[in-house]
Amino acid sequence: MRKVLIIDNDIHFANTLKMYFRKQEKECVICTDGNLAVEYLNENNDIDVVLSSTQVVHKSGMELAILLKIKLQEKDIPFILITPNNNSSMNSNFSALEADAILHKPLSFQLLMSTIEGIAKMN
Amino acid sequence: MLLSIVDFLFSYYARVSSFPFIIQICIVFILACILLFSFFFAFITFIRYQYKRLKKREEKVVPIIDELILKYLLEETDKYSLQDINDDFTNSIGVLNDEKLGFITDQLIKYKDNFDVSINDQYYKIINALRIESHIEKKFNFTSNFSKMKGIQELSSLAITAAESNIFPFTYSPNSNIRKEARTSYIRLSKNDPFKFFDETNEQLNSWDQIKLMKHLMEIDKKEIPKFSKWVTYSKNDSIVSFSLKMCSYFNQQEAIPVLIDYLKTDNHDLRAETIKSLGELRAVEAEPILAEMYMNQPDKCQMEIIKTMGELNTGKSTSFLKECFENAINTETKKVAAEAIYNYSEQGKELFKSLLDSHKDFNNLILQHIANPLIKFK
Repeated sequence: MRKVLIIDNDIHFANTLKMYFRKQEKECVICTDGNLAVEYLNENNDIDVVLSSTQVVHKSGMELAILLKIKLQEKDIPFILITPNNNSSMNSNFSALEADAILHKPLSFQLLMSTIEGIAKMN
Repeated sequence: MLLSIVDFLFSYYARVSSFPFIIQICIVFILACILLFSFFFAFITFIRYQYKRLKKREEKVVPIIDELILKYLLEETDKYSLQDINDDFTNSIGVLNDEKLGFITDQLIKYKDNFDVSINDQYYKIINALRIESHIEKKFNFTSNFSKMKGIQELSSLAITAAESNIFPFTYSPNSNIRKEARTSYIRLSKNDPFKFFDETNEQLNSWDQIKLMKHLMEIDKKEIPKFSKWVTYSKNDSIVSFSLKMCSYFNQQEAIPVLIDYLKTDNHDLRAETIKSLGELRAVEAEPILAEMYMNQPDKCQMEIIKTMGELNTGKSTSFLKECFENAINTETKKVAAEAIYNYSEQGKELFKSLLDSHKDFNNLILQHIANPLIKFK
């Protein structure tokens, strides 16, 4: 697994993840806007995993998750959702979307990497 | 040249002084306005220029800072000494002045908010190497309250526990904003009775204060969360009691249930409603008969909370109670809450809802249809 699409409007968070993935020798694309992310996935087939925050501009996290799930099912791309906190009612909502994994902020680099590698092995 | 300007001003003054008095006042007023406007315009332009320059410097330096922080976070703890880290930062971004230390502090806070940096000591090693704590402490020497509050917030956001002694003097500051900020931060940082201000404060916690307290409570170790029921019992401050009630349910403190049931006797309607809500969230089944018994003597707010709580407890024993609530309620809001509780109340509730829908043909039927409509999100 080499190319990761990061969808988050927090540019610091996205850039830090990009730097981290670069160190792990993984390519990375950042979309800070939900619409742009959907557009990118429509036009490109080079993404191996999507790492999406629930807080994205132009689409709520829920909307984006549903939209991407439909898109990703067509293309069979693993989808990891990053939620801002560990809130049980929110989690149950997001679990219903059947994302491959749900991670919470503050995010552990090790956990992120092992989740991505785990998903890669399963696929 | 200078002489001609002075000549012009004198001739202008001579001409103006020959005008009627009211015109002279108007001219002075207009000139004063023009001067004032020019001054403010120049001042705002200067501030914007300074801000743009600051942003440019920030844009240049922040990616390097981010890269360095990430580098040290991912490294082994003992590989670099404090001096090595300091030298690396100095070589990469230049002399570490207050401005650059400010940028580094902001980035460290963002790292802490977004990433789990507690797994190794590297994060605090960076803070120590760059002497971030003493940089923040400088802000306490300023007379500006804003600087002091920002300093307190930064120490708290970085979770530097050694900063407890720096924050403590501000917990008794005569300025209420600084005092509240310091006390909230003290809860997060102190290892020595962090909640002591809950016992002694007479100040009302507004919603924003409660949000900040909640944020800190979510970040401290679960073992350090106190039993909030003790403040429900003896605090004379209504806002502390209200906050404690919410925290009892948020942290699922089941041992608080007997205290909350006892607190239902309080004279304060708002706090009673809050208590009922907390009992529902704690799934306190033992409170069900007590709530049913007290229902008739309660104000609307408490009655609605009782109905919602009965719905949440969902024991299957309260269908007749909920039916009575729906049929006897005189205000529409209570009727809606009762109808919703019945609709979501297990299989028995569904059956009751159907029978109510068949038997009521008036306005009650409209309320039931409204509740059953899945397209209405906020009922």
